[in-house]
Amino acid sequence: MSSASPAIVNSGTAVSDSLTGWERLKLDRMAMISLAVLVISALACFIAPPAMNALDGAPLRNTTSAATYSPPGSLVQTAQGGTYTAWLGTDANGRDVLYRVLSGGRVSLVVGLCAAAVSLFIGTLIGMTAGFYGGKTDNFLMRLVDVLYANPRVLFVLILISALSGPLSLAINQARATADEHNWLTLKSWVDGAIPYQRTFILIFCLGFIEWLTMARIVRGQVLVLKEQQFISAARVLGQSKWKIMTRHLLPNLWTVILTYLTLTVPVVVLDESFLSFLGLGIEEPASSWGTLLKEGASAVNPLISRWWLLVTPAVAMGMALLALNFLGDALRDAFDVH
Amino acid sequence: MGRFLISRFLSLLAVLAVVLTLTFVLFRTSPGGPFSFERDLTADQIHEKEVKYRLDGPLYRQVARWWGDALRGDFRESMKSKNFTVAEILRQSLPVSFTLGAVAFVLAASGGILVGALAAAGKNHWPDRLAMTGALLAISLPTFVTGPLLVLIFALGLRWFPVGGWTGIQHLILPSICLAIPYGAYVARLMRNSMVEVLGADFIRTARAKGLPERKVIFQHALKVAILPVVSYLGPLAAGLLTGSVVVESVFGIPGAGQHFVSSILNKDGFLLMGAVAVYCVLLVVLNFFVDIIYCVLDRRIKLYE
Repeated sequence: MSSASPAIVNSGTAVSDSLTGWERLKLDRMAMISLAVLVISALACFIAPPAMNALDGAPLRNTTSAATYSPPGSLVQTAQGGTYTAWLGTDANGRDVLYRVLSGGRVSLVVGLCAAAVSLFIGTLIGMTAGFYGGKTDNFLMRLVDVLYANPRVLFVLILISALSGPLSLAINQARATADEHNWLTLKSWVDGAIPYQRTFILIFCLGFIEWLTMARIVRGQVLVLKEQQFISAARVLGQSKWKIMTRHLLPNLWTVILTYLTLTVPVVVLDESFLSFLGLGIEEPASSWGTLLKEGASAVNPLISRWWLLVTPAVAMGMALLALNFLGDALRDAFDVH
Repeated sequence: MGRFLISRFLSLLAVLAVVLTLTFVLFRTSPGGPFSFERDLTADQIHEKEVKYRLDGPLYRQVARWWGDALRGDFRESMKSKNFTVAEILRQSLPVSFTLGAVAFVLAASGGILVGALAAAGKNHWPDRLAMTGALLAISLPTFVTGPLLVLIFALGLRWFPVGGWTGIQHLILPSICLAIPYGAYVARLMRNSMVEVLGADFIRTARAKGLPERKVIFQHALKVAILPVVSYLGPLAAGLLTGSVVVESVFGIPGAGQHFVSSILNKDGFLLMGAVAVYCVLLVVLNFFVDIIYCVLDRRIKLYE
């Protein structure tokens, strides 16, 4: 996506070169709209569900059985006797779709951000090491990246998930048993609190672990360029340690790259998570993510009665958020000239 | 050129060997082995099963024996679908995936190149904006959403195509479009960006200056150079498409090979997994090699072999 308004593009490079990356980004209308969309959807996902619960008597929890599959805009009775308008309809259990999409968005965005952060950490570490040390280290790490690229990614993440879920639940059970035995109430409540989030942890780790390849390549390329510049040679001549050069001199110069690819990795991870949900390996009931909602919605499309709102609502929400993230990422890449 | 291609081929073979060995090691070392579904097996019984499946002894010997069998064309028996060899399972499902994938490949490549080139021609105007927003949206939606949406509109609403199944050519259209959409969008983005860059080059200005019509400038002069990044993406694209997609197969009820990638892992059917990965990797290696050859032919400026 090309940045900047046409006026700037036409008036030649002199003007846009004199601007900093941020100034160029601010001139990009699509990027600013995307940013606004993102901020608003994130706020909605985090604030609206509890607010809705407080306002009209817990639409998520048991509505009457008559409320299942109400089309959008219908008046729905809650089990508590009150009523509310389900603007986007209800699902198979009579739960408000709007509420579920918003709270699902919260899970998807958290998983997306955290996993992207994990991949960023691994990618930056590997990319910086490869680029800075060069030679055999570089060769080995980049061949590793090549091999992992050749592996079907789906396969890798499935193997990882199936390998990790067993040991993790075993560890949690053991921690719980130990806590029971010694009557450590704090630990016990802590472990109990963690149980529903097992899958989320695993997803964040596994998805982060497979999405770092592009990041590593980009960071390495950037480090190779930076390494030749004078301030790095100066630091070397002054006798600074490699670690210090990497953290104090290279990292600050890499952060626009990192920010750009963080923005671009989040949508990839959210898509991955939705794919895993489709396979039944994503977030588990009663929690939901956009992926699980889309899966439910997809199975609600059938030749007899199509409950289209179950598919269209999460699809629009997720499509909008990912579109905004991709737009913003592309704009960042253009503004900071990252390649 | 010959030397470059030979060394390239050898390094691709090395990648193939490493990936397959790595997959085998992962499948053998991941907790909850292939026999963990059958409860209460004694150590002797497990050993018996391991001998039966030729998975006894140290890991390196297991790997070596699998390679020995595979090189002779024997991918062993499926560990879960009794009485079926891996080769039989793949022989039944791969032709289906190949057909679907080939159609999707043609759609994604041609559609993506065309849309990308046209978008670049109208850079920063509405055709570009529209095409690139559309492409980004296509990348932002998973296939299991676009699939049911296509069904909802074209099969249930307009009744142009059947909802699913696999008996005739009418069953090919919706799934291949669904499969092609995200890849086509990716190709279009690649094409657009590289075309924009090429259209700023000197030889394009010369072509325009001598009065060539814009259509010729773009599709004859610029395309030849701008297509290179797309060409290098075509290898992985084809490998991914030809081995099938579990999502498209399950949405449209198609008996393809994509499901085996997933089910073999979930069922811990190691030999089927190895067979599926082998097919994918061999395809990837062969196709990447073809792409290298095409690259050499297309771009005579690159003298990789020197």
